[in-house]
Amino acid sequence: MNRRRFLTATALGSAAGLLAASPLSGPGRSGKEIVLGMSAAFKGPSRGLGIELYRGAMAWLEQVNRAGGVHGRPVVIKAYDDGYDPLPAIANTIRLVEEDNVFLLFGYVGTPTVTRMLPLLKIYSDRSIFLYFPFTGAQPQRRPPYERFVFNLRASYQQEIAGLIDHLVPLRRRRFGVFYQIDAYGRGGWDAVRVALGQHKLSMIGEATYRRGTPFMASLRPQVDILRKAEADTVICVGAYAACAAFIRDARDAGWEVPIANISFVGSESLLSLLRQASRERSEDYTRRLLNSEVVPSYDRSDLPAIRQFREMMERYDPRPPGELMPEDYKPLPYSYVSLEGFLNARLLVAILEKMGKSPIREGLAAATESLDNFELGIDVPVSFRSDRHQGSDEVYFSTVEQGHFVPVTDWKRWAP
Amino acid sequence: MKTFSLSRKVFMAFALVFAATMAVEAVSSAWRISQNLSAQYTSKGTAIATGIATSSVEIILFRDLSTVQALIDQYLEIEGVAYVMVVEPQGEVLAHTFTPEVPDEVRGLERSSQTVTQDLHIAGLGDFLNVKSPILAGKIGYVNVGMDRKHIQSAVWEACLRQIALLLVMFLLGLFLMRWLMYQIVDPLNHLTRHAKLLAAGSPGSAASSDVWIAASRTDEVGQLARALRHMVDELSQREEELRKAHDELEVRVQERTAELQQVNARLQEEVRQRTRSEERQKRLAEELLRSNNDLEQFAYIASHDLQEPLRMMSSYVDLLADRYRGQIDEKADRWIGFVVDASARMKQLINDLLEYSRVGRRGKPFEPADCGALCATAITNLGHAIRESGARIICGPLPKVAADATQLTQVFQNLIGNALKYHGPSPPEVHIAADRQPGQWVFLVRDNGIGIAPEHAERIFELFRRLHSRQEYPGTGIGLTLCKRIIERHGGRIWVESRPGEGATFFFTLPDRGGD
Repeated sequence: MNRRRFLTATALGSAAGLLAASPLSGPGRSGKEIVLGMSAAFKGPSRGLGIELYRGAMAWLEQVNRAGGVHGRPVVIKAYDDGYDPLPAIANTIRLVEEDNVFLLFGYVGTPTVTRMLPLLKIYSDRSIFLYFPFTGAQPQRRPPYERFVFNLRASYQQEIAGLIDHLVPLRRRRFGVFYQIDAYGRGGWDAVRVALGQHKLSMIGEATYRRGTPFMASLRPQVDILRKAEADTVICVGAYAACAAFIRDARDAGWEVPIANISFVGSESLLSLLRQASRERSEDYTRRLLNSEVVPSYDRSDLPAIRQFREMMERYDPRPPGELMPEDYKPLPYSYVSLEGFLNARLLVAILEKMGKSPIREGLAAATESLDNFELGIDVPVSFRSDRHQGSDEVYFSTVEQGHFVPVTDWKRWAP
Repeated sequence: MKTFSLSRKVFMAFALVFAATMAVEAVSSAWRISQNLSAQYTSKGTAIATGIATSSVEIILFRDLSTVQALIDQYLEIEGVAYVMVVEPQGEVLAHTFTPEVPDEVRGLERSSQTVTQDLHIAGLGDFLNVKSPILAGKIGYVNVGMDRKHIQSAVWEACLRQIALLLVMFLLGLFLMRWLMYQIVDPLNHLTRHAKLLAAGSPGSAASSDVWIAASRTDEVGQLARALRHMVDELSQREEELRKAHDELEVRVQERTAELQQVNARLQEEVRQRTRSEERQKRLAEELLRSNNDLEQFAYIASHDLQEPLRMMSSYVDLLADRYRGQIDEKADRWIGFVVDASARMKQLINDLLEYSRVGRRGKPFEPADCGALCATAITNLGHAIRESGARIICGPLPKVAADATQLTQVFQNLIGNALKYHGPSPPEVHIAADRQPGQWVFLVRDNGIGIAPEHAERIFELFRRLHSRQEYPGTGIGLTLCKRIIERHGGRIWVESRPGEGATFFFTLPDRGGD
């Protein structure tokens, strides 16, 4: 079974690769282009994450490439779909490194996928294969023994969750329930909730799980009932957007009005998009009392130069994943936290590549990255890396839905019971 | 009687065997699979639990729960694994795979420094085989791996259903094959049977002309049977034809024979009629003969008896005349008187003989056992004078006892021996008397060396008063052999002579052998 899935994934990856890398051939380092290898969910319930992350990154790369590239070399992304499943992610990684000979790995999505492919980085350490800016706040790639092969830009889930709890506990919210995906991601989040609550001498009063890949149409009423029975006054979700949206819908359908907090991985717009659609279909507002933690600022903040560039380039280029990786029924979001994160990731990566001169080599990547100190990314937060610090930003942002749109949380008192 | 067709029987046997096979096979394979899977699941669960326990030590000690979770997550991919849970020694859950929550049942499992397998029922989830393995002897925690029993059950069901489906397919296939074979075998057999019945009903022609003989072209046993039947039918037809021909011929012959027989019959009837007629005539003749014989006998007796008286008177007076007047008249008278005396004496002898002859039939004694030897001896004694005179030698062999009139039989011996003495040649007479037993009768012989008899006289010598010689040559009246013949015939025998002149004569007579000795 595993083998079959592996083969399917490989076949899929190879088909996608043919389309994705059409003009590109030869090794990323010695060829004209600098090829970035990406494995993410372009299909399935979490496809919005992969697609939007790719679009955001390509918006900047398009800009860079149009301006002549990095020292005259265009930067391209070779992407494969892993469907948010670990085994295809591993197969894609092997393919990217061994066959596509990419310069570095970039823009991976998801904890279970990244957590499982990390050992490959150890195996490929003699080739200096690094993973840049995965779309996950999980701990494994931030801790030994793999932290040295990975560079993160975003804050960790622990930081996001701690941020939520640190804001809510002073508002006399004490009864936290956790709804989480029963895998490395969700369990990491669960652990983060436990640790954060521990800081306040609290413990979670209930927990409910769901299986990865649960679609929006599935009923999550049992999970709602478990947490409601535990009399939670706040729910923290550590999941993917489809299941979290379903949980929110079922909670509200059950008449349960507790604040439900989600973390950045939900891709707020994807979550919101499902809820708005459900709201329209059922004439019920499913977007109330939602709280999200983000690792990038709101794309409404036009005061930030990077945001202005982001919006401009997204509008200008409206990038799309190539061929198969762009499902026909998927409607791209004009802007989103995810595409913004992809955009910022690309911006930072290009800055690093530029530092490496005309002939970048993989072996120079770590040094180039770790020498970034207080780099101005355009979001008002300086980014620094060191050999013992492989996470560029610790910043966590909070947003909520107002009138169908995510807006930054400005008034926390609203969230008091 | 309604026949229970072969195909239906075979079908029922087939169905029964299949049903039994299906049931046995389903049950046994269910049991086998259940056992196998349980064992397999236990060892699989144990392998996973101990595997996780061994490999998770450092991860739990030095890393985060995400990695522990990632580690256990991958085992859910393995068939049969329902859940994996890692707990701290105190029971705090480090990682698990339950949705929507960790059931209470798995929290309460007891701790052991050994890997423990136990059955576990979790409300709402089902039955599981829980394998609990300690991590670092329980210092770090425990790994629980749950193997889904439902999986075993469904695998069992699936296997059973697959088995049954397979068997059903085989059954249907078998049914189809059987039907085909039946069509190949039973249908021709039915045809053959029907036509064998036609045959039995006596119309081999219609049976032979049927299209069923197409079956005869087959190379299998049915073909053999059909050919054999066809051969039989041909044979039968031929035989019937032959039989009919033979029958016709026979009829013609019978008619012929009947006609012949009728003719013969008519002839025979005619013959019978004639024979009856002649028999009647013979009977009448015999009766007449008997009557005339009796008359003759009566006549002879009366004549001889009544003639005696005047004769006696005549001879008495002639004797007186001769005595008193001899030499007194003349010579001529004496000679004439002498002639009368001789004649009367001869006449007296004749009359006595005749009387004697007639008495054989009328005064015969009833037959009693008689010793012929003794009778012969009496006869020889009676002839003593003549024997001595002639110097004859009489040789008498052993003679049997027979049922006879002793007096008469003595007379026979005496007459025959007397004749032998009388008619002797120049040499002294030699007489042999013997008897020989033949089927149903005794044959006696009296042989002499006398003058013999010419064959032409062999019959005549037995006639009354028949004489071949003159009285001067051989005295006698010629009654002796006639008397013998009459006596022997009265005894139911016969008498004859074999002789040639000068060579002696042998008289034979027979007497019925009534087992007297």
